[in-house]
Amino acid sequence: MTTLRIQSILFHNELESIKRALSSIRRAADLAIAGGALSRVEVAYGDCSAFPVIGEAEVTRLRQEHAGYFDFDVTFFGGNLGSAKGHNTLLQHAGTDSVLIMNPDVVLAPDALIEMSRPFSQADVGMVEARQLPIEHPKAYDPLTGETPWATTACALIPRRVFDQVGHFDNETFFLYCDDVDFSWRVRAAGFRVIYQPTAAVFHDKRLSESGGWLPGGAEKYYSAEAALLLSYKWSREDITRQLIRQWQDLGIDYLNKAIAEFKRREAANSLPQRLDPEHKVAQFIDGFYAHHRFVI
Amino acid sequence: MKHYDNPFYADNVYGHVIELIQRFASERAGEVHLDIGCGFARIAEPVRDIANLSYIGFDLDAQAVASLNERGFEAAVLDLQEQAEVILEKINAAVGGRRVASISLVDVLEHLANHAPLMSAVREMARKSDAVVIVSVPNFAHRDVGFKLAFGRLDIRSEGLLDHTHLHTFTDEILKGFLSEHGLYIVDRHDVVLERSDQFFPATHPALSPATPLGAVLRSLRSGADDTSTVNQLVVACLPGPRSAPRYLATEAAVAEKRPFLSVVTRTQGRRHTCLRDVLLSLTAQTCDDFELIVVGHRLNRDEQLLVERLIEDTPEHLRSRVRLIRVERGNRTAPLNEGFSAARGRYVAILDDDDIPMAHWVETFKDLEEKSPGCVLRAVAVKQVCAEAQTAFGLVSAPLTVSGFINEFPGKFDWLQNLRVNQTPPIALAFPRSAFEDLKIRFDESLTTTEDWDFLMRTASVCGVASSPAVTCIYRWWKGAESSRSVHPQDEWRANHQKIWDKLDELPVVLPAGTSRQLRALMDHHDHLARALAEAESALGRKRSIPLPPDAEPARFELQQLLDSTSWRISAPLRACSRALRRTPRPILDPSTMPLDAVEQAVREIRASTSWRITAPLRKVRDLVAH
Repeated sequence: MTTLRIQSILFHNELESIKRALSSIRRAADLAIAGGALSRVEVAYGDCSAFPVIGEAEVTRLRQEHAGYFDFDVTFFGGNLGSAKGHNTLLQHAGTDSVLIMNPDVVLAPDALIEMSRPFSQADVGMVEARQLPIEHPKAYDPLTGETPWATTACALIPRRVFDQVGHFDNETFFLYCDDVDFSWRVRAAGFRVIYQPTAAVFHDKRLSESGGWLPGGAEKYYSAEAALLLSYKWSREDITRQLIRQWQDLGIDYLNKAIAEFKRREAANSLPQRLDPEHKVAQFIDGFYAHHRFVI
Repeated sequence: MKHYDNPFYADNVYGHVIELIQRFASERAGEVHLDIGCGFARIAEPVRDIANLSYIGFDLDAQAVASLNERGFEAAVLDLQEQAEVILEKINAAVGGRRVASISLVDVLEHLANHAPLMSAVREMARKSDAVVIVSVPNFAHRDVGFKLAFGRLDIRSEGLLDHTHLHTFTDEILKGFLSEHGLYIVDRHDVVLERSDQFFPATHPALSPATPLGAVLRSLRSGADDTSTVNQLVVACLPGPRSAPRYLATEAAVAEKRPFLSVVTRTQGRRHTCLRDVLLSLTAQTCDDFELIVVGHRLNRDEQLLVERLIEDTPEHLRSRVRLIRVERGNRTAPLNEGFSAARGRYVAILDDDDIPMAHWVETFKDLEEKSPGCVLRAVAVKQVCAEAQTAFGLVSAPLTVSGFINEFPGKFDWLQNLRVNQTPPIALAFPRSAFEDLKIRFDESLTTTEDWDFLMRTASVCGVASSPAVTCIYRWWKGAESSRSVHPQDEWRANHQKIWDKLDELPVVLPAGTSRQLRALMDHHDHLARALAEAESALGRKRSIPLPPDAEPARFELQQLLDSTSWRISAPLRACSRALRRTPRPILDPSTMPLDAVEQAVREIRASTSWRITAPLRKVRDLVAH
């Protein structure tokens, strides 16, 4: 049977939301172990915050509270490593058969771990993504096979063997955002399938504006823009990279200018990523997204 | 104790007491009836002659007792404030070993300072002989009392509902509690109903008069709350049983009880596994956990029930401990709502159907609204999203597949006038004060098969008002290709329910929220402006020359064209424009050259019969006179 590590990167998260997530992990782990899908679960948090989100005493208390359901540990990094590097740092100590990468405030449905494990009955499945509530990710997936171009690490399950073959997240290129897109495409380039599993539900607290629109935060805007330039370059679509730069540089928007400046800095320093997929067999760049989208948010 | 000499009538309290005695003692002819606090004993003769029982009266007043003796009835002096043993001894002495069929306390209890000894003795007598106890008391909750009291007026009188000698007040609930505290339980009743009690004065008091808006609203709400709004005297038949705790203790316990803020009522038919799981997951993730969940399983078969129970059992313990499953086997989709609301313990109740999704701050937003506007209906904003179902190769069941972005079609604030025409709030975006359901007895209309939530909202909003938050807190799923209320119920049924709700709204007196007068004035101004603009446009069109007809066209076509071109028809165009605007009907297109002949002939008949043609007849007469 499979052992599982669930790992998340903390960055000034609310303690109550973390506790809610841990309660849901406890129940999901309990059912998965009782159902034979898993044999052991551990939860590892890496804290990128300026000060520990969970104090030592609270870590001890949580460890005791959930003893018997999962092992629990928190590593305080003492600095903001970013998502990709944070996960990679934790992965160095991961010895389980599978790793669930997820946001620390994600609440699992009781059967989420069981459902996410199901596609791995087929050996060519390399990554499984859960369906998010209340706002489902709009990217398309094959309604029969569940195949999707990439999986978001808001909640994605990856076998250890896939990490061994494909490598970890590209933290040299990506700080926050698109590290999961890049990883997914590398998984697919290695011959694995990325599966969207709608029966595996998780709740990810996202909200809308009063007019029903998406509410990206400042960090999301900047890092998404930076990642868009780097991702398109890395995946051999420099035409898109240059087009974005041309479009953005006249807009006078600070975070876009900052993203352009960072790209150019790396270009000048010859530290842009090595290019992949020169024949464009894996990566998709469609209307500003990295897959076809079923709908627009 | 004061005595009241009112005659016996079949339809007054005495007649109703006799009726109840007959219902229970009809097969005990020859046994004894005890009339305690009998006064002038106007039921003595009917007890003997109608109920066929031997009458014994008891009263403190020796003269009343003597009067009864002179009429040929047994009677004894009895102080109702004596100790129970003394009362029992005196009654037993009068009964002399005979079997007692019935006991009456007619308008006695409200005059006594201490009830316990008398009630103990009565219960003992009733138990010993399997006797029925008939009790009557005035009803303090008659609407005439309450409506005036709401405006600071309580008219104590020499007799009647607010007799100056009354030491206790009774409502139906108080009477039930009082009786059970003394070991008596109501098994039948025959209340005396009076549309206008002795408290119906002054007749022009706006709260009393049924002709005033205030009076109409108060009557409408009061009659819905319970069945006693016009009960003048509560007349009940009781049988003995165990004594219960004093009522006031139950009231104190209810006041002190810690209730959750919100009861969430989720209807399910157990057919959508994944959707119900999504609902439970969304509730697990709420930022505020001050709620309970009532899952109402409607007509579940055994497998469906097991599935629902399994889904509940799977939830984390902190949610599971707050979930109850109740099963409803009756009615249409509306019945589970009434059952769910009845079972609710929260201060507020929200409807979360098993195919919609609350966001993490759904409960929290309602709670914030309650703090600012307690007692109001609470409203946040839902966005609509179209969903289908899909089942991939790795799924044992189908799961929701979102196919649209967020459709923001519900306004950010509740507008009472707009909601008169059509519902603008899906039920997931609302939380209702439970008191409206429990205390005002506002219920879901189970004759409605759809839009039951809109009907309930309007009736509740009319009395509670609505507090709105512009925050988007939930997703209202619109199902494509899967079973939903829209697929199960045809359009005609939706329209019929819609009309029924309009008809109900038209019949109800309503209290309009503040600001509605301004809205109505603006609407009427806008209407007048549109009517004038339309009339001017009609008039301009009327002055245009029509296209010439071919020479061989039918005579009817020429006739219609002449009518349409006539001064009478053109000059009366504004009148027809206003009429169409009020009726919201479009302007008919009348073209004599292209209409079918039978339509042309019909149009000619209608024009000649129309109001426009008739009222312009004098003009044609004048024209004809001038022409000749």
